[in-house]
Amino acid sequence: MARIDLHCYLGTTPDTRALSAPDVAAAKAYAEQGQFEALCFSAPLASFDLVGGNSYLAEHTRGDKRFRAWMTASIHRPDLSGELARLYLVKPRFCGALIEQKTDADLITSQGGRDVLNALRRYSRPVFLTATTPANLEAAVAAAREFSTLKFAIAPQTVELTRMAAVAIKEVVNTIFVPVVSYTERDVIASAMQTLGERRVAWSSGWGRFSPVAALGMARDSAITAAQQERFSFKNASELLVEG
Amino acid sequence: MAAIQFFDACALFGPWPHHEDLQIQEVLKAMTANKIERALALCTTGITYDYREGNAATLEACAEHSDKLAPVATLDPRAYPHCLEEAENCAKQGFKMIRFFPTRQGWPIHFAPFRELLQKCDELHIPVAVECTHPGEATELADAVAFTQAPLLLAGVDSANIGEAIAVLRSSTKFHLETTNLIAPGALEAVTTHVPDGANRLIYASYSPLRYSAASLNVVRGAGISNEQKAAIVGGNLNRLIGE
Repeated sequence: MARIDLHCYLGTTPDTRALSAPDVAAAKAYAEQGQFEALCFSAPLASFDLVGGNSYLAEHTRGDKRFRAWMTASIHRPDLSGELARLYLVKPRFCGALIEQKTDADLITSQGGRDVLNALRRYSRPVFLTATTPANLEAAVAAAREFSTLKFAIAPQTVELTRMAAVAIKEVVNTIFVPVVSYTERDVIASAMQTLGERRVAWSSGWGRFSPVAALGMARDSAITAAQQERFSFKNASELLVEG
Repeated sequence: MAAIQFFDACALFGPWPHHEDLQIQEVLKAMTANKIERALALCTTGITYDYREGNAATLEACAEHSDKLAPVATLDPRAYPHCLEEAENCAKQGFKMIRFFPTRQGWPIHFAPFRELLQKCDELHIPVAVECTHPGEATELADAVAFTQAPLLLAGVDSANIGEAIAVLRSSTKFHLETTNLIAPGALEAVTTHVPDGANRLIYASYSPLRYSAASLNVVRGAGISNEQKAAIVGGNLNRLIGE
């Protein structure tokens, strides 16, 4: 089955600090293991160093046409995020912007968040948002409602938020839900497909943080039809990336 | 991995907050789907409500499905001194292991009743599993059980804390480690490389049907270790740990 891996990591993550950092050679080896149409990477370095991290990502996703990149933007550096968007989001390889809400000090609905989203509107690329608390999941929903011309992929980063995300984003149709294997109870995927419809749930492996076979096992164990599997593993991400 | 006997160290049934009830039939179905022959099972009532009721329900369910399920007890040191008596009952009733959930139940590892309870379990020669989800908890546990001899399973450790877990495993051969959340690429390989006899200290546990069995099982199947090591992790080590 063709797949799009909607979110992977290049570089050291908290989960791999004591292990080997996932590098380009490992990413290429991973890409050879499946029929991947695209693998969309972000650089954890960019969480702390916007310029360096995005530059690292630009350099290391070059040379493999399957590799795509999420440009990290920060609500705390809206001007710099806007400059980086002008530099990177005009390149076909960059599939969109990733904005991390690590704490409630990172709300996407803050003035800085709104400034970043305003700057991103001109690029017609999706926004990949993480959520780590109920307040910032709510902020993600509110931002998606307010910026209705943008498409949002929302990836909760706790078990509890993953459980409640589908219901939270249900009414906001420019959002899709991206469950992260480490935080996904069974059978959140089938349940999300019931709540959101089969077009608004997409697969990512979290490669770099997590072994991709875990996310493949999660997909396999989900009580969804073959057509829904195809939507989950490929079509929904494909539509998100094409349409922006 | 042909002819390997799969033995799961943790299957759950019963009510679970914010989730549909975990049915015993779902446990059995997930076992069949993943070719798991036996599992240590536990009623969630013992975790979230009252260990006496939970342990009784566990015994009953395991008696009904004795070909597939073996009982695991839970104890709560906050119910001191009754919990000491219950530990003795558990040993008499044939429970194979006792699990502790300090984080979920909200009590500290550095806790006088827990220390005494661990001593009791050690005297009874019954293996224990302790949830250690946060940095520092495995270290605290190791300090608290310096006097015990019985095998001790570190549960809930994720890849972000694997360095600490490896240090604890290296400090004494009594420590073992559940694989459930070790889903970062190279996590299992790191344990087999850096811990003496490391492959024999890892124990597969699915927490099915709450979690996707195939997610954690695929990580073992796909790990860069020998088939003999995989066989030990998914079944052999647990058989040895509980003396079967």
